[in-house]
Amino acid sequence: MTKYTSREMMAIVAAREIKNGDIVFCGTGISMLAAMAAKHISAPESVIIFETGAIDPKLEEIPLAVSDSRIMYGSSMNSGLADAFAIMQNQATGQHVVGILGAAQIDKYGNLNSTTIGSYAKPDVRFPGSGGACDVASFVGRTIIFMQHEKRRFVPKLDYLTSPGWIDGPRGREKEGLPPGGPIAVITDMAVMRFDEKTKEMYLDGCYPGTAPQTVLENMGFEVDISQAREIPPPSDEELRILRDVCDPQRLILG
Amino acid sequence: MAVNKQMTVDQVVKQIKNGDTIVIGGWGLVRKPMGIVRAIAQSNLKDLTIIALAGMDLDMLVAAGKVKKAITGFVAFEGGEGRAVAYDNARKNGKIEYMELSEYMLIAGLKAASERIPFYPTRSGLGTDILAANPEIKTFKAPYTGEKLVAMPALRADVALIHANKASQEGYATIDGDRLWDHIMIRAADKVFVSAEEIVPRYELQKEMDKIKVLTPWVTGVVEMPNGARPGTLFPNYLDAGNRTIKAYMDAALDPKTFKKYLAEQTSK
Repeated sequence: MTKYTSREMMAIVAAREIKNGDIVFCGTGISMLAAMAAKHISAPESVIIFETGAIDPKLEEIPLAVSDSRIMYGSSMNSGLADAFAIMQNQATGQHVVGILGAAQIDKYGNLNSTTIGSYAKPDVRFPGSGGACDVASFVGRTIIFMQHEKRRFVPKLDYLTSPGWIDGPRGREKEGLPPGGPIAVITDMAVMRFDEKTKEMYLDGCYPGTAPQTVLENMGFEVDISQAREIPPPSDEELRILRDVCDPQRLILG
Repeated sequence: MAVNKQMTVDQVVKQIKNGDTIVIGGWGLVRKPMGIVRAIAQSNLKDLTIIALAGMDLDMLVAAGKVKKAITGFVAFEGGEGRAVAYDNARKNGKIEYMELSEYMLIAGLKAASERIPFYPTRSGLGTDILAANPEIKTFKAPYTGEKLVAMPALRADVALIHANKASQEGYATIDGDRLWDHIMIRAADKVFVSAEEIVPRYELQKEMDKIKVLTPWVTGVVEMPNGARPGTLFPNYLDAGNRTIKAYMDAALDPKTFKKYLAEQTSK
């Protein structure tokens, strides 16, 4: 078995969530790697889009950020933010978009905070804010969330709700007027969490090899069901080859 | 004889008034009209409201004490190594007013203004603290279906500033790469000023007609400004942010004296 890093594991686990034909909304960093890997492994007909308007770029050299101008090279179209959001809002395409997001805090319904820690008016920490995250979380069919598994990030109550998940349960989004769709998986450096079909509450779907369900719980600020936890298969040699040799040979994002 | 809208950056600054609302194009550190922004930072203007998907543009104007209120979709030095130190400081200590939106809410507000309607309906913001934190943004029931929607208020601007790759004296301009939201926001402002890497004859622009995103009816003035988006990036002219300049900015931004010196150095280059 080839050794692998936690970033490689996260990228591959996320790539496995992307289906052929999906439209993948990408952010900076590891989400870009996941989308690229999926395109080379299981979803060759997926289309990658960025909020700044680069549609279906070649990504021959991995961009370091959404704002990295390399994204614009080889794009099938250099459009704008409104065009990218139009794909997410449209009745035919919106449900086929899978959005990959990250955040500073997440709660058990997959709602996200990327705005402030502490009081909103006098924050202890200020993050960049929504950007396109709230829009993506509001519009698209599925979102995948990358998180570091830490108590201060998995919180019972968000300091600020920037991007909607399942709000407060199965009817939460509908009550607020949000379209169908919502978070399907939270991919961390330890485990994969999913949301119960009935309650929309987070549960532990599986741990990475070598991590115990109890350890995952100890790194969360709220309780989740761990009874269904399985072991997530590590990246295969072929998955690792594609990630390392095809997607990020210079290890710009893999580190 | 075609109209000639070419002017100097000082002439641009002269057309801006205290208390104006200025919408600034670009995204993070991408294609920001930094040359004009620096000129505003060195002017006597004050009490400005800035609308931006903000990076160093807003931050520099906050550092210069020019900003009364910031209306943003995010504030970060996306695409370079640095933090919005001045905005962070002002925001945490309650020194400026702010309206922190999502990107699409911001665009929806500009769409409303560009069509001269009081609001634009969207689902973005529903169920979030963005609505809780901004009680002036209301929801309403759609008259036809009864669906709950956000009525994003029009975000009107007095002035729009953007940076383009090329422009003609008449006020046509090309944008290489992603046009971002610049083609929308210029329609929400009374006056539009475009800085461009180079001013070229109109027939030159027409050779790459698909890149013309800015049309003369919108434009008040064009300024020739090579490297006008630095230390940010401009596709395909310069792809990497000037991280040393950004670091020098961050070191200077919180101290008025050092900041003045930094600005003087930048503009004398």
